Amino acid sequence: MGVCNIGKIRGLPYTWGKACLPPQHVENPLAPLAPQLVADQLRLDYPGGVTALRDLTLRVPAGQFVSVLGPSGCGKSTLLRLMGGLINSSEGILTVDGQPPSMARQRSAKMSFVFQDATLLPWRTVIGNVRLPLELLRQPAAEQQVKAINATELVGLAEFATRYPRELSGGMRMRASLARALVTQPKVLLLDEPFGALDDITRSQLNEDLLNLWQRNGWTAVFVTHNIAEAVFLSQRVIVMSPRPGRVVADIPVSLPSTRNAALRASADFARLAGEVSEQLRKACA
Amino acid sequence: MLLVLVVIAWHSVVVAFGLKPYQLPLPSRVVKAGWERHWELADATAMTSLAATGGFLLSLSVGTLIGIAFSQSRAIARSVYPYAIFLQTVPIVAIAPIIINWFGTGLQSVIVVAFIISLFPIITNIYAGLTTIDPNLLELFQLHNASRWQTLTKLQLPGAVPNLVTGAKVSAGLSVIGAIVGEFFAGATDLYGLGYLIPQALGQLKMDYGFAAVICSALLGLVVFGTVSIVGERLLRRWRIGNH
Ligand SMILES: Nc1ncnc2c1ncn2[C@@H]1O[C@H](COP(=O)(O)OP(=O)(O)O)[C@@H](O)[C@H]1O
Ligand SMILES: [Mg+2]
Repeated sequence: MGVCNIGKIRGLPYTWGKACLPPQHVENPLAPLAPQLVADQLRLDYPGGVTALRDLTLRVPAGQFVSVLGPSGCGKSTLLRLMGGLINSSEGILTVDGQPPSMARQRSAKMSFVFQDATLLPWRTVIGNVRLPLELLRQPAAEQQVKAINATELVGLAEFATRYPRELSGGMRMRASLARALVTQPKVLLLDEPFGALDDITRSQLNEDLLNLWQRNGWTAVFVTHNIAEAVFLSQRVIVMSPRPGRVVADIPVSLPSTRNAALRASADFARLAGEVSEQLRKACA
Repeated sequence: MLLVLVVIAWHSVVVAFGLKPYQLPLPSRVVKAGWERHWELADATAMTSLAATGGFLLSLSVGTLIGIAFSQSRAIARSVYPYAIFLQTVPIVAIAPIIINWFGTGLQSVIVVAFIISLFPIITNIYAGLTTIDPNLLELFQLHNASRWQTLTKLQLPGAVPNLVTGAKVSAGLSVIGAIVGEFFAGATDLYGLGYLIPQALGQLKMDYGFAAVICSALLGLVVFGTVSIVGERLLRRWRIGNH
């Protein structure tokens, strides 16, 4: 706090003051060892009486890639919205880096969301869309441009940076959406059936690219999908949820080698894991 | 093509029923009367289009501001909306004398009448555009702690442009009607608009000239509507999402 005051007195830039947090939020040196996302006995009731989640307990260590499978309407999107701090839980505990998500989002762990639709702004070019989060965070313009270009290159859209969304294919739009999510260099990435509307070939391609990006950047990823093969291919761990009100009914570690490619999809291990997930999902829906 | 048919039909009706020129003039007489005084007609059309444009631009800006105010607060929307509907339903003929009383005869009153008549479609369309936003996009803005102002300027307003164009097309046509109605009541100054010429010509039983003025006002309406549509379509090219 003392440092904060000195900063203000000396008229240092606003961001200096902002970076100084009250003592209870000073980063715990042991924090990396604790799970980054913690949900404990989580419950969510929507106004109108729908209980979307009940007794949901889940711990995700920093840097893990978790997929979430479950029947539709079981509360998967709700879970992501809670983790992003977009809605508040009715009961139970949910923390990101030991803080409520909406606080973590502003202080320690930047979070990004990828939706099923690319949800790009049609009046902005690809680069304009990718830059948007940085504009909202009021970063310096020059920095915005550099970061946006980097993120656009990262997803392989450099040539299309100045195109409008209507000029892109579905797969390219999803890449732009991914670049927009990555541009803030998030620690937590929440993906809600991002490739659900794409054809198989485009989907596999994007799966491989996403995995590659994750291996290089190591964000914590919570990936909601309906596609078992996709879940197994991407994740270190697959969670299966019960029908509404949703809770975790199966937690399957995916022990596949870390280098994953098209050949892996045809392997016996892959088939066995996919079979197991499929069986758990069938039981959950029964 | 249709125009030719209309003119032929008009001509035949006059001939068949033996109508007198003060009842319904022949198309050729209308053209002749119009041509004889084409400078006066051109001046009047320019005058009316000036008033209509003024009223339209006022509607566009004031309507947008009102729409924004509505979108920012449900309380404002709920308390002010009934008055906006009043604008839509009040017979302009009834309040025109009041407007003249306030603003005097002349261009300013005509603009005010055009403005009042053309305001409503702008408000409703822009309000609809500002309030129907993809919930995922709102979540995206929320996730990055966007301020109200950022959400308004970077998401809601650009998102409402297609609605604004729709409203503007309706509003532009109404502004011409408003200007002509306004001139009926308040146009008697040194500069005469079409809304002043028409009743004057008819009062003097110059049906042919009156008809020429009516045709000018119809053409003016078309031109204004067409211009707004073309500008709107150009603007909207960037807004269209492809259908891959
Ligand atoms: N805003 C809301 N208000 C009320 N009920 C909702 C709302 N959003 C979702 N629900 C309900 O909550 C349940 C879970 O929704 P959701 O999380 O979207 O499921 P999923 O993503 O697994 O398909 C569904 O039954 C849905 O109808
Ligand atoms: Mg969902």
